[in-house]
This record gives sequence, structure tokens and C-alpha cells, in this order.
Amino acid sequence: MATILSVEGVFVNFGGVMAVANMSGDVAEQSITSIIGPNGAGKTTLINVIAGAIIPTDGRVIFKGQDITNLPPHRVAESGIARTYQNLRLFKHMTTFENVMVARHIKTRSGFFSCALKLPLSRKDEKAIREKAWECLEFAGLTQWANMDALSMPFGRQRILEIARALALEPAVVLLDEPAGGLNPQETETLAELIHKIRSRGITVLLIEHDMSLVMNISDRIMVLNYGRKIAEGPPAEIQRNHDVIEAYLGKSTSGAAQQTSRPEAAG
Amino acid sequence: MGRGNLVALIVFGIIILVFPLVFTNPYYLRVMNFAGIFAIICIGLSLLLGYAGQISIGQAGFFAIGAYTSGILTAKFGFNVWSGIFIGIGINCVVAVIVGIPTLKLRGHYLAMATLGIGEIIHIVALADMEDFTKLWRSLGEALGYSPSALAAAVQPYAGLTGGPSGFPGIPTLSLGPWEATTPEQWFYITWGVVFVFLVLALNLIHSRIGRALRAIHGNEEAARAMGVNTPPLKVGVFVVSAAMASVAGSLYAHYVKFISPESFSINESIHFVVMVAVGGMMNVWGAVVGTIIMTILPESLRFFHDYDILMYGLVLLLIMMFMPEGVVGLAQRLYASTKSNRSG
Amino acid sequence: MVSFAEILQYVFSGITIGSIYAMVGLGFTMIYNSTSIINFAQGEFVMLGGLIGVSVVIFLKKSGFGPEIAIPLAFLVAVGATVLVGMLMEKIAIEPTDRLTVFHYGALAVVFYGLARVAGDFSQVVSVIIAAALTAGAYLLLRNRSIRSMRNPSVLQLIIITIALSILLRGIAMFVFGKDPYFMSHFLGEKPVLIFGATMLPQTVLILVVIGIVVALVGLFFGLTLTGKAMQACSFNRSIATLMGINDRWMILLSFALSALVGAVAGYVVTPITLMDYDRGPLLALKGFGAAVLGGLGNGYGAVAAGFILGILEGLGTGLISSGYKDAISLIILLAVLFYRPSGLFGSAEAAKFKEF
Repeated sequence: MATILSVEGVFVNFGGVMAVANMSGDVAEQSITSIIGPNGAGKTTLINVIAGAIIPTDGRVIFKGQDITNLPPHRVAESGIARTYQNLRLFKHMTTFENVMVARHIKTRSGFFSCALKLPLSRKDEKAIREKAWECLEFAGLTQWANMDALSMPFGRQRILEIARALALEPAVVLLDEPAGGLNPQETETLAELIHKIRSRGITVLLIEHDMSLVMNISDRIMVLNYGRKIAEGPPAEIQRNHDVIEAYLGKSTSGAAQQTSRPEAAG
Repeated sequence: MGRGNLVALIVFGIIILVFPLVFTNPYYLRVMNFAGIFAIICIGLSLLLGYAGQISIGQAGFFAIGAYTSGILTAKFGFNVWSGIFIGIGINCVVAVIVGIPTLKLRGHYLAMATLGIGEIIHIVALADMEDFTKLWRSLGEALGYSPSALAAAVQPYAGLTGGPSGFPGIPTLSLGPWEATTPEQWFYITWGVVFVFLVLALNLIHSRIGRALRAIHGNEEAARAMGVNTPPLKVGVFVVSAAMASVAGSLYAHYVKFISPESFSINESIHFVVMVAVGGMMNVWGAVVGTIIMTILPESLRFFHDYDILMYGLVLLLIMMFMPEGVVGLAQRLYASTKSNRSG
Repeated sequence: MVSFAEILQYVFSGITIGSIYAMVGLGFTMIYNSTSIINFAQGEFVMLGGLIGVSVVIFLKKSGFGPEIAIPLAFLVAVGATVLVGMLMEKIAIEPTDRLTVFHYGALAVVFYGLARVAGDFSQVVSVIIAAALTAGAYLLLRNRSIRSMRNPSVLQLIIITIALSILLRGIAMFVFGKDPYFMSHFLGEKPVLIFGATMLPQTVLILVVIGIVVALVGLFFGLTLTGKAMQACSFNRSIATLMGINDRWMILLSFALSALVGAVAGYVVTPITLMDYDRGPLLALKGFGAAVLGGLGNGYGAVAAGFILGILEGLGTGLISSGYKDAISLIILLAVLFYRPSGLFGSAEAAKFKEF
């Protein structure tokens, strides 16, 4: 499949600490690509670069053939990339429904005057916003809690809400930053189903995760980061056998121990 | 805007219509007229503070510009009352844009202090008397290389414009053709009519895409941006709205009291407005109205505490902010929500 | 053209007011460093130092003490009292808490007493009894209630709380001291000292000496004592500091005490020149904040230096341009710093970025 998103030679230097170094990679359209690596490997930094929250010290981000490296976050969203956050950034003091409706902001145009005076344009916008936002809630299975305060919901549902909100942007690519963090096995299963549903809608998924079974089960392709560099890339089966990856997670050990941690089929 | 708000608006409208018929005492009406004028400012501040989450402790500055523009244009240059009002709004909008763009990049305490500073600078300009004004231009002239007297002579006609520390009298009352606003009842309907209109506009705004975007900025600014909201123009926009409302309030104030002095536009006033919004409930625009009424009536009823009025004011504010930070309306909402959930078991 | 002597004169006059800005700025910085709060009531510490000081001096002189005893003694009382006020402030309204503490009940008792006296018009003894009874009743009612709202006060809440404290302190000052300005005779007489053609009052020299000592002592405290270093650790990262065994609540209390101290010292020594009244606080706070930001928020020495810079600029502005607009000078500088260089003159840009609200 064609590449929809790629990073080329991205470096991110935080006052002397190289958070991301010479990161390059392609994400295929409509794929589910995962980024894994030990804590502090630079995964979230990379997502922030793609999403426009950080401008890299060097390198480029190319989306649908356009250089989006220096675009501010709201323009990146406008161009078709949506994201969620590792530590959840739902809008306080707003309901589930309202949280999702905000993402429809860029698709509408009515301004202060039009909204204050409830002119026809704002009425039309409001109707369109509500319809589309409701669709996203249905897609994510959240309609039952539409009018609840978003932050009063259980954690697992909040995670799903953030994904529903991202989907309301009608993105071509969605960046999920550790969406399974803090979820129990059942919730993780629901999440996996949702991610498959998203992909079957034609949306490309770029996923950062620590939950290895989730990653190995749903990914088409995995990139492994360590100390800000990409140390391996490939389909799940390859990654599981990769020595550098195992070392990165478990540290250098005797080759015997390393062999033991790899899956049985690899030993043959 | 939701059924609750519609019902509240209808009830509110009826109360406004009926109030002067029930409470005919001109003293009460006068107090409520001032409450109405301040409520207009506070509705704008509530949008800024409660919904967009931007702390502004300088609304008295916009209030002052509106009042002085209307006052000066009508009393000293014979402008029509309505031109004065609209020119005042225009000037305030321009000032709000110029000031707002750099200021609203700040956050939290920095933003609060910047707005405080801006409001105070406007106050100082209003306070400066002819001598200061002339001296200022003389020095500027010297610095720029003009002969000091030439520049001073050029600005001479504008020297006494604000009337200095004692302000200036002689502002005509509100008029439309042959009709003039003269009685407290008429002013009650004027001020609270404007409150009502602005309340409707505010509620419309809150329940629209703009309102949600503003609330999203307050809820989590970074996430708002990631969801496509371009935050700077929105922040400046709501700042301009609050300035425009304060301007209208200022113009009404000038025509109501017919005499203005810088005292009414100091840091203390700006703080009063924030207090009104906080006491009523920042997260709800009705809170602005409720808070204004409470904090206008309270000092009046504390009059018999005369030496302690500032003290009581501070104490009440402290207690409310410590134990009831969601304000009166917020508390009412919380209690209502908990009784609803209790009933449904 | 303006002579050098004239300019120097303006500079000297600016030093006096600059010293207040320096101390207020230092006070802001100390509290900000340990709590990330901007204490709007900072100016009130200056005011209290001055007003309490004058009252005590007058009282002592009336009691027959000579100025050599009255002035230093009043200094200690004024500064001590203000420090107590600052600490009380922190205990009652700033510190996050789950329940009402003894300080809250104490303040409640005072309020009940005041109400009984003023509204109920009871005698002193009866009022005390009423206050005690009501406070006991309040304790029984509220002792197991948890206060959700003060568990984790938000930035906005704290801003308005410190504004409320500022108003409250002003109200108390107005009640106790009245509205008229208080004045105190100069400590060392009024014979001016001649420096390079310009005159400086002995009081101004004294101010510089006192401020210098205070800054040196504060610097030594932070640099050399264990407590001082603990406070610094707290300001860099409070959670890690607590893991190291540092009692962060003590540190915050201490920062309020120190802030009150430096403010009161300034208020006391400048009152002979500038007079003092109950309403001085807010504008001083605003300009002192300007000094703190100009110096680089978080940098104590920077705040002091910036305070003097602001004062001198104001003095020059008053003399060379006009006096009516002089307050605007500091404010414009404050705005310029906030807009274009929030890290100030001496602060680090990195630190400015991390201080999120």
C-alpha cells in the first residue's frame, strides 16, 4: 500500500538531551502500525513532532506528500491527522457529547456574530456538528453517556471517548498514544475491536503501546525505538525474534537467557 | 440553548418587567440600576473568565474608555448620544485587539497582572490633569527634537479633556429624538433591558461552536489545539466581546450619572467585577448576574457597618472563595444535581 | 538642558521608592518559588510594617522612651507582627487542607467577637463569651466535615483568595489606623548629605544600608543554612523534596514569613520619607510584581536589582517628564517585560518556559 505518512531524519534535542535521533520511517495507508520501546525511548516525542506540538531540531514530516513539519497543531488537525494523549486530555467541565463536538470546529465557519445572534449559518453548523458528533459516539458505543460530564466517567470509557473525539475530526491518520494504559483485559479487547473498526473505515492507525499482546495481535508493522533511535522495524513475528529488541527491553544478558525469552517457534 | 436557560430567561424577563412596579422606592431602583450596569460588564467578564478561562482584572479600563468617550463626545463636542456609544464600542474594540494580542499569549498570574497593569494605565491617563498632560507632551517634544512649546500648543485643546482627578460634569442623559431618560424606572428598564439582551447573546454564544471552542480552551488548551481549534484569535475575540460590553456599560453609566471621575475606574473597580463574577459563580453566565446583584446590594446593606465595609467585603469574598469557589449559582447547581440523583435513587 | 546634579537628584529620589519595589519583588519571588502562587497581598506587608511601626513608636515615645530605644523596638514589633500576620494568612487561606484547623477556629472566634461587638453592640466580656460559645458550636458541627474546596485550590481560586486577603487586611488597617496617612520622623535627622552636587537624605542612606543587610542575610540564609537549601529544593521540585524528608508545608509557611519580613522592613524604613496609609498596598504590589518579573521571576537578587532599576526610572520619569504619569512608567515596563521577555533581565528562558500555570 502507498505511504501516507513518513518521517525523514527527525532529530529532537531538548537542551542537550537527544530525545529522538535520526528517526525515519514510513506508515502505509490504512495500516495499523505500532511504535514500541522502553520508557523514555522517545515515542511520545515522536508523536508530538508528527502532531505539530513540537518542532523538530532537524528532519521532516511528510503527510500525503506535503511537508507538515512546521505546521501548528490546529493546522495539522485540519489537514487530517488526529491524536489522543497518553495521560488523557479531555475537556474539563464539558459533557461527553460536547467533547466530541469540539472536534467538529474546523469543519464549520460561523463566527462570533453569527453564533451570538443565532443566524442561519450558525444554526446550520450546529445541526451538522451534532449529527456528525453523534455518529462518532455511536461508532464508539458511547451514546448512553452522551450527557455525562466527561471526567466523571470511568477511566476506560474516558479513553474510548478521547478516541471518539479524535475520529470526529474525520482524519486520515489517527495517532493513539498508549490507549491501553490502565485498561483491564476486557477493556483492552474492546479497544482492539475499536481499532480494527477504525481501520476498516479506511483510517490509518499509528499506535504507541506497551501492551505487547495487543501490539503483536493487531499490528501490521512494528517500529521499535530505544534512546530515541529506531532499532528495528518489521512485522510482529520478526520483531519478537529480534535480539536487539529483546536486549533493549530486558537488558544485556547471557545468550542463554535471551534465547529463553524468545517464542518457541523462533528457536527452530 | 437548553430548556433550563429558556425558562430562566422567561422568568428573568418577567421579573424585570414587574420589578419597578412592585419596588417603587427610588433608592432601591437606583441601587438596582447600578447593579444592572455592572451586570453588563460582568456578563462579558464571565464569558472571558468562566468560559474561556482567561483571567482579566482590568475590565475597569474598558469601562472607563466607554464612559469617557461617551462623556467627552457628548458633553464637550456635542455629539449625538448614540454616536458616542458606538464610537466608544469601536475604540474599545480596537484597544482590545491591540492589547489583547500580546496579552492573551500569557497565562495564569502573568495574564492577571498584565490586565491589571493595562487597566491601571488607562486609569492613570484618565486621572492625569492638564499640567501633567502638557508637561508630558513638552518632554516628548523635546526628546523628539521639536520646540517644546510648539508640541504643547498643538495638544493644548486636548489637555483638559478627561478633566483630571475631579472628572467632569455636564454629560447629557440618554435620549432618542425628543424622548429623554429621566426617571429611575426608565433607567431600570434601559439597564436591565440591555442586561437581558446581552444575556441572550451570551447564552447563544455559549451553546454554539464558538462557545464550545472557548470552553475547550479553558478545559484543556493543548488538546483544543490538537482538535483543530485555533486558539489565539478566539481568545482575542472573546476579549473584544467583553470589552465591547464593558464599553456599553460605561456609556450608560456616563449618561446615567451625568458626571464621571477617575475614582470609578480604578484597580478596585476591576477587582470588584472579578469578585462579582466569582461570588455568583464563574462557570455560569447567570452567576455573573446573581453575583453582581449580591455584591451591589451587600455593601449597601452593610452601610451600617460603615467603618468595616471594606473589611466585611474582604471577609465575605475570602469565605466564598475558600468554601464555595463554585459560587452561589454553582452551589445551587450542585445541590440541585444531588437532589435529582437522590430522588432517582 | 538638565544638569547632572539634577539627574542625580531624581535618581536618589528613585532609590527610596525603588527599595520598596525591591523588597516587594523579593517577597513575591520567595513565595512564588516555593508555591507558584503570586501573593496579591504582598503590598499589604509593606503597609503593615509602616503603620504598625508608626503606632508603636508613638506609643513608646508617649510612654517616655527616647528615640534610640523607641525606633529599634518599634521596628522589631512591627516586623514581628507582620510576620505573624503573614504566617496566619498562609495557615488560614493558602495551605491546602481537608479540615478546619485551629487557626480557622481562632479566626472564626475573632470574627464572632467582632460581630458581637459591632452588630450586637455587646460589651467586651459578653462578646468574648458569645464568641467562645459560637466557636465551640461551630467546632462541634464542623469537626468531621471535610472541606473539598480547599483540598486542592486552583490557580484562579488562589489568586482571588490572595486578592480577598489583600482587601481584608486593608479593611482591618482602615478600621484600626483610619484613612489618614501616618508619618514618622526621620531616624537620623533631616540634614541632607551632599553627594556629587545632589542631596541625599540620611534616611535614604539608612534605607540602603538596611536593605543591603536584609538582602545579604536572605542570601546567606538560602546559600548557607540547611533550611534555606531545603526551601530551594522545594522550589525546584516539591514532590521530590518531600521524598527527601523536607516538610514542604513548613517551607511554604517559612516563605510567607520571610516575604512578610522583607516587606515590613521596607515599609518601616521608608515611612519617614513616603508616609504610609492603609491603601498603599495594591499599587505597590503591582509594581513590585513588575520588579519580580523584570528581574526574572524566581531570581531573588534579580528582583532586588530590578526593583531599584524601576524606582530609579520612575524617579527620572517624574523629574524629567511629569509626575502624574509616573505610575504608568513601571506599569509599561511590566507589560513590556511580560510581552517581550518574560524571563526578565536575569532569569533563564528555560525556567520561564517550565513555570506553567
